[in-house]
Amino acid sequence: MTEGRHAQPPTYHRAVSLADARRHLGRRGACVYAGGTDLLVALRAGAPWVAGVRHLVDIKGLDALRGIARVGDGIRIGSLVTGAELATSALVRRVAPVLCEAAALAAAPWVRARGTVGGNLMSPHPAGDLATALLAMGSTAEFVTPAVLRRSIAIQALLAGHARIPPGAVMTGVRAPVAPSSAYQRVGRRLAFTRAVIAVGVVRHGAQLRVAAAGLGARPMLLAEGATVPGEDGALVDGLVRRAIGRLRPARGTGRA
Amino acid sequence: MTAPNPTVTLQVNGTRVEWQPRNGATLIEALRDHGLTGTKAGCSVGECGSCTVLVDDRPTPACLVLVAELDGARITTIEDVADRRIARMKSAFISNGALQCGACTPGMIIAASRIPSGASPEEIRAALAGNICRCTGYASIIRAVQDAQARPDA
Repeated sequence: MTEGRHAQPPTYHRAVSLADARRHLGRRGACVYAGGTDLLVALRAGAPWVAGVRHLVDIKGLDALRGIARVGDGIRIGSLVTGAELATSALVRRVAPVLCEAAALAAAPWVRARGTVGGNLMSPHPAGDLATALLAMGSTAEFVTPAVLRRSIAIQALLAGHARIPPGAVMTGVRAPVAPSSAYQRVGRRLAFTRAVIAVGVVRHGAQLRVAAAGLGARPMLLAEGATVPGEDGALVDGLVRRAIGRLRPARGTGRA
Repeated sequence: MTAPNPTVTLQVNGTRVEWQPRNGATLIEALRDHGLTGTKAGCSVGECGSCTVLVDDRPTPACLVLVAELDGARITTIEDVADRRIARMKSAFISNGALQCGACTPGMIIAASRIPSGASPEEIRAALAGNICRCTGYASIIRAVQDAQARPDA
């Protein structure tokens, strides 16, 4: 960081294991560092949410936090999986098109290659595309805490700020039921690297819908859960996304910083 | 007080260097501090692509990477004269008039040099979506990339 923008630039630590990460994260002012695409920008800008950060604990070397796998009736995505990996994964395209489409629209190519699922959920981004898609899917984030406890937190609670995450916790991954009938669309000023003015993810399980949207408030939010739709038409979900976008209006001031 | 970062060893344009990064120093700051001013700092938040360099052969915005995390990495910038794909792209940008003010050009050339050959204009546009040019309207840039890819030894 350029001198003066961040009063005390943080020290860098490379975690060599999850235990090592938890040890470093036990320090006052320690913060998980992964893709850095939001965190470094926030540090540079002196954003309030990073005001106390004194130590960056780089978890990128922890291979246990990588990988995308089918688990039972769901999918598990490591917290270090990048947007680019989601956008190009044949598995994600098949079992969760909403997430694949959201990842392909997020930011710009070089940023997608670095930005992670964990970061998109943990930085207070108002219109995170991955977060919005994962919210529509009804996902749960898994953490390990410094006390070596495992905790699962519904992403809905995480994004709404209702979850209490112990200091020093590391997100290890995200689990979600598969969502083969799903879609994601966004309206923005241009294709690359503009925050969505409005983005909507829709997931259909049988006749039940879950609809999540970004751009309407401080964080992505769940608009509808359990709404019912008639029919089994595969094109229906995409049509619903288009109609939903047509009806929505962005919140003032959230279109573009 | 926070502790200093450890020294990192890097390959920068084929030369081994040891740098002692200031806490919080990004790659773009370190490159320019060490006299490699060919890479331009633009927005500093990863949006414009002007500071794009290769980190282990992958285009990366140098403003979004800490020097401290790059121990052992291979960095390639616009100053590199040994990389044939970069050299070919430089020459194609010149012969196609693919630059005007030049601020985006170093990052654009680095990014363009790693687009797989045979890419369609749409694929080139998608690959360069993170590199903003405010002068050319992109048409000459797309032509330059296609030209470079059509040259022998691509």
